Amino acid sequence: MKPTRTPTIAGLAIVSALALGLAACGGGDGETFGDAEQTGDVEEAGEGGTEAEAGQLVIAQSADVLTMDPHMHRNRTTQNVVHQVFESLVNMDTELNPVPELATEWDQEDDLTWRFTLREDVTFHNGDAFTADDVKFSIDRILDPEQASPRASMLEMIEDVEVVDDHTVLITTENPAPTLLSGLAVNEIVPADYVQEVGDEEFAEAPVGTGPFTFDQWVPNESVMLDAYADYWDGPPSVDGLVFRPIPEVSSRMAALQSGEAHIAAEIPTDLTGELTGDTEPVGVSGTRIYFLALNVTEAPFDDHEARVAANQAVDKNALVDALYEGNARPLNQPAFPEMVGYTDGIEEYEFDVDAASAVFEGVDESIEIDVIEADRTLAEAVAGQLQAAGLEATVNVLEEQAFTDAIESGSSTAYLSSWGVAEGDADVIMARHFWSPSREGAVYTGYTNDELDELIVAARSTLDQGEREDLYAQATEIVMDEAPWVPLLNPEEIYGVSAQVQGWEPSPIGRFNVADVTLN
Amino acid sequence: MLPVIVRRLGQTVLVLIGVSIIVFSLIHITPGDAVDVMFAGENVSVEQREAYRQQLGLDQPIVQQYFSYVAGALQGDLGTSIRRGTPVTEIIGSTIPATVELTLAALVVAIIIGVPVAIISALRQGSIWDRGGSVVALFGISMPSFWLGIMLILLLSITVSWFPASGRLGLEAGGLRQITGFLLIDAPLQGNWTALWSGLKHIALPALTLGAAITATLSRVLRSGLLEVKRQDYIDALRARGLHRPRVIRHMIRNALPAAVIVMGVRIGSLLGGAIVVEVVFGWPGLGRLVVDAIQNRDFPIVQGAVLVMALLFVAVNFLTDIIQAWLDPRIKLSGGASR
Repeated sequence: MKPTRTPTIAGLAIVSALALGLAACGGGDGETFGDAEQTGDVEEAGEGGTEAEAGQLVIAQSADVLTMDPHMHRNRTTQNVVHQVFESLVNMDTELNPVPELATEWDQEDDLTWRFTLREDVTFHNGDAFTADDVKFSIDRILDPEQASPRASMLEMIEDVEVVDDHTVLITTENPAPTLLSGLAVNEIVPADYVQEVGDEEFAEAPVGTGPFTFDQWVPNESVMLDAYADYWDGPPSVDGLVFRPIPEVSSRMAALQSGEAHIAAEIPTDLTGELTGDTEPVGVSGTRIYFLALNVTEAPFDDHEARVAANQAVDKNALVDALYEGNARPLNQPAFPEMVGYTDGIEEYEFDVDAASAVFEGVDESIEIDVIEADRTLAEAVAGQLQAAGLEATVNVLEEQAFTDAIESGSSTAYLSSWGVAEGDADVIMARHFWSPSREGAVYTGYTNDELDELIVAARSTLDQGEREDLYAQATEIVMDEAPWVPLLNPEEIYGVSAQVQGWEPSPIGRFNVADVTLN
Repeated sequence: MLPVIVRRLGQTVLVLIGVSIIVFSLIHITPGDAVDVMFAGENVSVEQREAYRQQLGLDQPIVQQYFSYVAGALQGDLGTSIRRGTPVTEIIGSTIPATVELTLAALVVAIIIGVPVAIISALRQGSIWDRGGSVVALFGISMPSFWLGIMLILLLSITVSWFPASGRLGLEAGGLRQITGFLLIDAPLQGNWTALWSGLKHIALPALTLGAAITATLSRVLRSGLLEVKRQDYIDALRARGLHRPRVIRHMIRNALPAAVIVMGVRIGSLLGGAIVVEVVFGWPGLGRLVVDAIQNRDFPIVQGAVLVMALLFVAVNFLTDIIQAWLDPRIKLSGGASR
């Protein structure tokens, strides 16, 4: 009997074929679950071709955009991308001063009324002219409760926007609002007619702005592709296109840079800068993040003023900067960095003095736990080590981010190490949030309050005279540092990995990518 | 066959209900919600947060939230992403092909490498080849995928730059229209060979990383199956009849395969889970990375939807394994019982 030919290899092939059948299943899922047509539409636009590739600048960030609608997110990586397509009335320069963007100038008619003169030669990417109506529409859209924009709280000081003529708007605020300009800088203008015509959903899929780049396509979790806008009011950008790629894992992001798949990689940890060699180099810019150790003033040992002062003396910030940041950070002697409005020069600072600290900690029986999130663990461990060297029993307690937030907001942390971003560049951000008694209702933090300080903070919030504000903040800073609910630590640089191909790029302290003049060689 | 399928579908529904309840509860036990995360570290008052919660419907009682979720899900509406504002079905749908493609590629890697290794090891039991196979398999099983992935990137992307370090498609491929969502199918369909080549290069390292453990499992299981078969009388009989060696091997494989298929079927489920790590390391735009992002952002609708879809995929794979197994081994009858 001739044995029947059993096609084993063919059997394997069939297994694979069945597996492919499963694939078809998955595909089916994708189509019923998702709107395949939409993704198709978005992708169709991308007829990039190989020749355009030479001029495409690729930036790797840690996260994907959440939406291309500039009003419907509260997320910095998203804003870095949408701000290439959209622009605001004002922008912030590298010293965090407001500079013209879509508004050429502004002045105040009185404490509550601001007059903005708009740029005249600006068109949206669909050809519509940019006018005062777009400004009013955009601000109203953000503030409209129906719209549920997560950005509303940034502009809540605005009472009304009035169109005077095509290129003039009057913005009135409820109270004198020194932070109006920094609020406007992070909220972009959208085209009124287009948005109303196509609706929110389609606007997010095919966004149209005034920025140097036009939207081409967004493949979620893969890339956002933008093209140079030839009619940009400041002249078209030097590169043909701009691509943002989300690569969450930092070593993968650096690998993409080193293998030439990306030209700029954002958010490089300072301790990895040494890895960027050869055709890539680390480029730093003074950051806007303040690291601090917060001490709960309502419980032992830090209910004792002396213990808080001792903590300030026990921490050697210069050593932290050198050891953990390889010098890419600035030690802080107050809860502000030099570019901020409200930074006080020549403040009387705590000198690093272990002996003085030890003398105080000798009388302290309690041990402390420093609450911290995983990302800040190393810094917290170093600080705990310094406190221990001064005789305070300190350990580090790593919490999941939300558990951490709950702990510090409920006031159950004895001590915690954290950071606060101050992209607005104004001391109000720190003072009103951390040291102003009304804020303690929602977030206890250190539990520290002081009536005199409250008055200073309110006064600084309600005047527009910058000189007077500096003065008020100088007094406020003195009180905060005297009573020492915080040990201000340091202000790290933001580090980018940059390929040698990139010419003429400078990072911005608020993380924006100003790439209009960048060339690739 | 039909009653079996119907009964299986019934079980699937039960699984999905169970999964949805568990996920819903777990999510609401974890501290914080999307609004907390969105405004973390920003000057947003408690009242503003509450107002925003109301706008999103997050202030409703949990049970009510669950039932309105189920009511929507039954109509194919898995809700709207809190952070992105787009329908969850749309977001998940766009990521499924990437994950399935990666999983299948890992399976292909496993078959291409695992089967020959198993055959050589079994035929030359105790030889240097067999021992080498054991060492490689041990290596494949013990390597954590995040480490292996990074090592492959270091070696093959940075040092010799043969393969790209991340992503699914290079820029040189131009605009590739999505038809099925499966890049390796869409590219040849459109005759875009640059895109196909770029896609293959991009999938190689993630597939190798994801496939390492399952390759090892396959080669070990198939090897022991082959060894068992090798000792059976009928193999001797076939040899005695003077059959050519390749043909004898085919008989052996055919008889050793069912056991391997069961093990593989179970492992495909773990591949879907392993894809989460690999997708993060390689910046692969799939379901796993979506879930990780969504959990970090407390974007509950996406987490719920994605876990449901994963459960569904898992059940589907199990069922498929049963069918393949029954087809490979006529002695097995499909019963309505559990998937064994």
